[in-house]
Amino acid sequence: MNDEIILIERARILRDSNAFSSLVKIHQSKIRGFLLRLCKHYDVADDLAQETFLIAFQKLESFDGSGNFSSWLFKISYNCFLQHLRKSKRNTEVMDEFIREYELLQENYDSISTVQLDLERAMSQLKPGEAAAISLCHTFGLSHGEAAEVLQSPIGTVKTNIGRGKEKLRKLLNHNNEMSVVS
Amino acid sequence: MNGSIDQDPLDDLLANSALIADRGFSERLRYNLSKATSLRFKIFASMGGIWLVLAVFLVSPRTLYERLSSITENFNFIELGSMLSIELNYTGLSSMQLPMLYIVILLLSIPAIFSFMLSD
Repeated sequence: MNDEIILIERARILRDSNAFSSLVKIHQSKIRGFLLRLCKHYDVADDLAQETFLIAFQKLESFDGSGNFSSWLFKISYNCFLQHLRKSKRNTEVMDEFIREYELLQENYDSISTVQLDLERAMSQLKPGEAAAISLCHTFGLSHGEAAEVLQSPIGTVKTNIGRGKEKLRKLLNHNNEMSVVS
Repeated sequence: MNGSIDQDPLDDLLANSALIADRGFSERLRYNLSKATSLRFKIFASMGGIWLVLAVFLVSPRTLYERLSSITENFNFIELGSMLSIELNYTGLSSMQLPMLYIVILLLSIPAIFSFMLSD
């Protein structure tokens, strides 16, 4: 963590792109995973993640260091996603494409089990708000408050989205009959 | 059992989600970053060049010298100090060496600072 602070300071004050590249290596998997669950398309998620890190490098001055660096990156990436959503009206098309890309999906991960792959497929059925809240709180370990800050919505909405999303996931995973997620 | 709280398997699964492979993402970003940085440098350098040309044509060399001296006097040495401490901290923590360019700038800045201090 201490090393991370020094890397952030080096990138912020010295504009050291090597230090920032080290930060990218630490956080890229989380940010890309988060964006993939939101936009359901690998290439779009990658482009948005590139945009996220470029904006982060430009706006590093505005990161005051009081909060979590990943939360700050998640917030930028979520804004990039919202901007992308406003620009493109083909959200449902993208979802169809994601389902077609099922075979490709496995190659995008370091290693993924069948159960994890089923989870990612089930996540693709959720609404972006539900997928975002569940990912932030249950996969990336943010508190409800931090997630609310990232998603710029009230804590109550985050909790509701998590509850609804998890219920849908349980149904989808049970329906697939490939794992024993029974509450 | 034994009064322990039941762990939700879905929570476990979500917490242990698969990690996306890098697959050249970091390299692509490094390239995009260097492109953005070099563009910024070009803009900055060309602005500086234009400023210098205008200054040479519009202001006498003596006034130019005086203005440059006042800019140097107002230079924030505290910021420079924090930059150096971050640089040295980082070098101490990692096995990386100081880039050659920084060493040259550091060496050149010492006589430059002293010469400005002595000129007063």
